[in-house]
Amino acid sequence: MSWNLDRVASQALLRQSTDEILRCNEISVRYGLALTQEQALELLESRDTSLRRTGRVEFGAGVVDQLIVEFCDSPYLIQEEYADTLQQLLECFYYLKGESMEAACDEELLHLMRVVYDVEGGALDALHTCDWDTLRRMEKEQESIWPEQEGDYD
Amino acid sequence: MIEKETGAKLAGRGKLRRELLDEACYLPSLLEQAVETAWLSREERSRVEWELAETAAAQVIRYTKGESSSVPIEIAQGILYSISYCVGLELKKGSPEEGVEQLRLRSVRMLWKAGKETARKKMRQASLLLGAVQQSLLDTGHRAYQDTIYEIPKFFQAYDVEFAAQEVPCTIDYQLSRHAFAFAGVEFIYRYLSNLLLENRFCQFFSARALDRALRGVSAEYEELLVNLYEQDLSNALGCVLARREVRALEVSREDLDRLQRRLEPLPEPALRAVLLRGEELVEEELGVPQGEISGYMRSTVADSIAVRVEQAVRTGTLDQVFVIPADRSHAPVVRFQDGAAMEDELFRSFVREMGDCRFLSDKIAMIRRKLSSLRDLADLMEAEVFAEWEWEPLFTELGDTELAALLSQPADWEVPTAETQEQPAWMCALKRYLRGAGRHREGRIREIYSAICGNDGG
Repeated sequence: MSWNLDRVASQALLRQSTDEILRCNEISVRYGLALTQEQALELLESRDTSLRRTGRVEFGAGVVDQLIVEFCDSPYLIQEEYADTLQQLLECFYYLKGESMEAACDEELLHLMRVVYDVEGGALDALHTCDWDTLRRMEKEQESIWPEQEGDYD
Repeated sequence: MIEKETGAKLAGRGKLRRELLDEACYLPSLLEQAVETAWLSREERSRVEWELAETAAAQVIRYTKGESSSVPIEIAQGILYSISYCVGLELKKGSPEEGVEQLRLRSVRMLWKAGKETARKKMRQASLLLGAVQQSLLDTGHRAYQDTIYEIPKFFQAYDVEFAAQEVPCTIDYQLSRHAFAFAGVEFIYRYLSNLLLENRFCQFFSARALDRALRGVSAEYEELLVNLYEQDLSNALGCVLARREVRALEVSREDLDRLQRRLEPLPEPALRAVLLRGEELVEEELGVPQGEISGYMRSTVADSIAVRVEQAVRTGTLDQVFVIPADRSHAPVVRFQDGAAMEDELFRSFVREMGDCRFLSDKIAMIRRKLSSLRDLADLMEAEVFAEWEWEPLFTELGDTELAALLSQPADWEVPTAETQEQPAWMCALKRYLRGAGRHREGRIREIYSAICGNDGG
């Protein structure tokens, strides 16, 4: 006798609606980026596929809106590729989450991914192939190159 | 509430069968059966599952300290089962019908909270049982038995009622006659300890030597086998009664077995079973086992296990596989240990003060090597607390096998050291831990020397 985890978990997963994702447009639109209703739905479906592929399960609000907020001001994101890139970033996120042996919290991992994404000029290959240690090393290298925060000069 | 239901509604319901519910996964099995028998509608089950998912989601956030929205499936599964297990504990307090009613009346979160309290209470009860088990330890070198006794206290340190209530965080190698595998979490450990205590209590009716000889009849190296000590002792006790031998000796001969084979062979199965059950009653009478849990446990062991084995053994002419012919330990090493002269009292006190002033372990060991010639004095020194706890292991490393075995036998009025008991000083417990970590062969060698010292010197 066992639980059907998919069925039980899906009850909690359903709570994250496309409306919540579309609300992120209010922020991303400042950078010329927005998702349509259809793209938001595809993103949720792609999230479920990524979770299954990486052997993970997500309860509650999920990480999609955090991902959008973290990446929307990247100079390498363009509207034509926005939806597709978010799907790929989501896949990378769950993969790297497992790679880190759960050592990384969502916020930290999203930040590291953003650093690498920008360093690679918006190419996703590095994120698809690198491991947790490489990610940390790349971030440290960036810190050594750019030790000061932008705001310090304001 | 159940009585208030209309007759029409009750008429459509099937019967809930407690015996078909899964002890380890009570909630999902109850939900399934309740829906099948129309005690719950599918919508009601969905509501319970929804609440379970909500509770699990909140627990995942607690588990990740709010820092991660997703977790690996195994962790989510574990948290879900943990909640479900605690809810099941609460529901098991009543009949399945009452359980279903509880699911209607109370939220999953409330049932979970109450279930966690039940689990904690069960753990306190199990802890008391562990104390009783430690007081009734058998004098045996059986490895799985000893390892398990050593491991079980870890359960109480590591049990996690919040996130993994269904797990048993310790290694249980020793197989009981009546196992508790159907249960999980704290229920498992409670059942295990209850049964182990009954088995220990039964074995205490016999001398350590009689037990050892009977088990050595199973194998010269029974200590390394996953044999259940109690069941073999009860089998032999039964054999003794049937062969009209002294029960406490646990001794049957080849002639006894031949005679038994001739008498049992013609009996039809029900008659054979009746003879064995009557034999079990005689074992109780001869040993003076009081009516209660131990006698009940013995009866079910004979009915469920030993009788089946005897029936088969009679058919195949292998009764000696059930009622074994005892054997003595062979090739026991002859060891005679002679302790050195002990210090005069005043000299010893001064030595203890001097040791107390030493800062470094190496200095302490050097002083011991230089001035101490009696292991009795070394044992007294340990009790004088001149060593910090972390210093014991390096000190034991300095000693040879014979010295360690001799130290183990000091003083003679302690229990034979099979595992830690509260009465023993802390250094003795540390010594036993050290031996267990010293590797199977070395520990076996030291225990052999120890047995030889005790046997030859009378302790």
